[in-house]
Parts: sequence; C-alpha cells; structure tokens
Amino acid sequence: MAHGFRRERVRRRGAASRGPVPTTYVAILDAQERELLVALMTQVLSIVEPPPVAPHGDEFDQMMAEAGLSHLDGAGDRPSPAAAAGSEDLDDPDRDPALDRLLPDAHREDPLLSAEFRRIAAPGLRARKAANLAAAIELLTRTEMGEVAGTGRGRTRDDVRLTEEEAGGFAVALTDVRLVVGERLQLRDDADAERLDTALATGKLDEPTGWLVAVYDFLTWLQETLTQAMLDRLDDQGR
Amino acid sequence: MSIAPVESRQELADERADLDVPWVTLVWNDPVNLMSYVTWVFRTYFGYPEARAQALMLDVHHKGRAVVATGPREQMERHTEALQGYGLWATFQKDD
Repeated sequence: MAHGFRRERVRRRGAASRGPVPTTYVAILDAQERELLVALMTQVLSIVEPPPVAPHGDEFDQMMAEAGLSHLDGAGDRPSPAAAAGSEDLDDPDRDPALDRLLPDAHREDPLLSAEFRRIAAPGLRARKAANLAAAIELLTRTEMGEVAGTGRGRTRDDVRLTEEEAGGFAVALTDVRLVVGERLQLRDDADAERLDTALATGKLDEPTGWLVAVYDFLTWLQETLTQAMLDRLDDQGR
Repeated sequence: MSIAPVESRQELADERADLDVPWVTLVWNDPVNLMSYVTWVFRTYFGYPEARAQALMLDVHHKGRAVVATGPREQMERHTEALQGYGLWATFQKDD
C-alpha cells in the first residue's frame, strides 16, 4: 500500500556524527501511481516547455532564447526576435488557460508592465519549470536497486527516494501539475473548491471529472506529506 | 533658509517622493496551493522565521493577499519571478 513521503534519518556514529545529518525523503508508490505521476508531469512539461524557436534569425539570439537567457544578451530593452518567437504562444488569444496559471500576470493593474515582465521573465521561468519537471520524471523512473548509504538496506522497487535538494524540486513539480489539474477542474477560487467538494459528496460529478478529482486528491496528499516532512526538517535545523 | 522660489522647491519634493515610494511583492490566495507549501516557500526562499512565514501565509489565506516583501522595483520583480517559479500567484506593484 502506498504511503506518502517520510523523512528517513540516517544515524551516524563517532566523528561522522558531527555536522548536518543528511535527510532522505521516502515515499512508497506502486508502479501504477508512479506511471500516473510521470504521465501527468510529461503533459505539464509539454505545456510549459517554451515552443520551438523559429529557425530564422540570429543564431546567437536563438541559442540564448533556447537557454531561457534572452534578457541577458546585453541588448537590454531591445526586443529579440528569437525571444518573441520563443513565447509567442503566450500572446495567442486561444492559448491553453493552464499557461496563465503557470505564468500569471505579474502586475494586476498595468497590462504594459505585465507584458514587459512576461517578455523578460517567461523564457527563463518556462525553461526552469521544464527542467524541474524533467528531473522529477527522471526520479520517478529510476529503477536501479542498491544499498541505501549507511543503512545496510536495499531500496525496494516501490521506494521513491529523494535527497534534500531533489525534494524541493519535486514539490515544485507537484505544484505545477496540481495547478494544471486544478485549472482543468476550473478551480479558480475557494468557492470553486467548495462547489467541487459538494458535487463530489453528493455524487453529482460525471465520471471523467470524478476521476480527475481523485487524481487531484492523490497529488494533494502526496505533496502535503512531502511538504510536512520538509517543514519538519526546517524545524530541526532551527530555521 | 532657502531663497529658491517656492514653486521649484515643490517640484523637487514631489519628484523625490515618487522615487522614494517603495515597491512591493504580493502573494494572492488561490485554491490550489497548500498552506503548508506556501509556508515552506516563505521559509525557504526568503529565509523568514517560522512565525513570520506562518503569519504571512495566513494573511494570504484569510485576507486574499499579503505583502511578502518591500523594496526597490528590480528586487520586487526578482522576487515575483522566483515565487512564480515556485508556482505561487505572485505580483509586484508600487506600494500604495
């Protein structure tokens, strides 16, 4: 049976006990649950990934745009054709609303400031989110078996083990997936969440929506366990 | 005592007031982000102590939004970008 993330404390003896003790976060997820997560993360990755850059234009600009560094090309405010091409789907009126949830307007009253911020920040934000999702997918598909350092125990196939550093990125990836699933469920404010809960409780949801709600609840549960474990770790560190 | 004409002194003061107005980074309530996760982001990204992170998270939750940082515009833009990277609904604006 699945269980959410828990901290696994590695006990060290003697001189090695000085200094920070590394934490590993471990969840037990069966193959079906891992496959579901990978499928969802892959979908979100395809939404968030910057669209392919148009093949024309300056090769350097294009490289920088692909690396999400368009705003660092020394040109300051000069609009780079490659950067514009790399986020043109953000200007498409028929764009996926999930994109707006992942990259919301950064200024609520000034559309020009929002557009300027988006032009500068979006390529980098999208590249980082994409890389983060790719890393999470990689963590879920690691199949190697081996001894867990210092414990003398091997990892079982259903263990999902994250280092401190991996855990933060994994929590962010879960957030991005929940934002997209939440958008599909039209969860835009707290009242929407209550309406959905009521519909679920009274059996008024159609089957696909009911399934999506179950997926959303699974993601919420998994993220909650991971976040609580990470908060617990911060408490231990006195931060 | 200054001998500058009153009008030009007034202009200078106005300009300075405008430059001194700080900018803020806001985080808005949304139905998806978990309270625990928002607290974790405030503690991890800003390094805020537990009590402050918790209070800010509760402000977001109950009041719909909270000012999580104040300072020059460039810095608020950086915070906004970083917090959006965490998936929070972050914006920046001139303090009012």
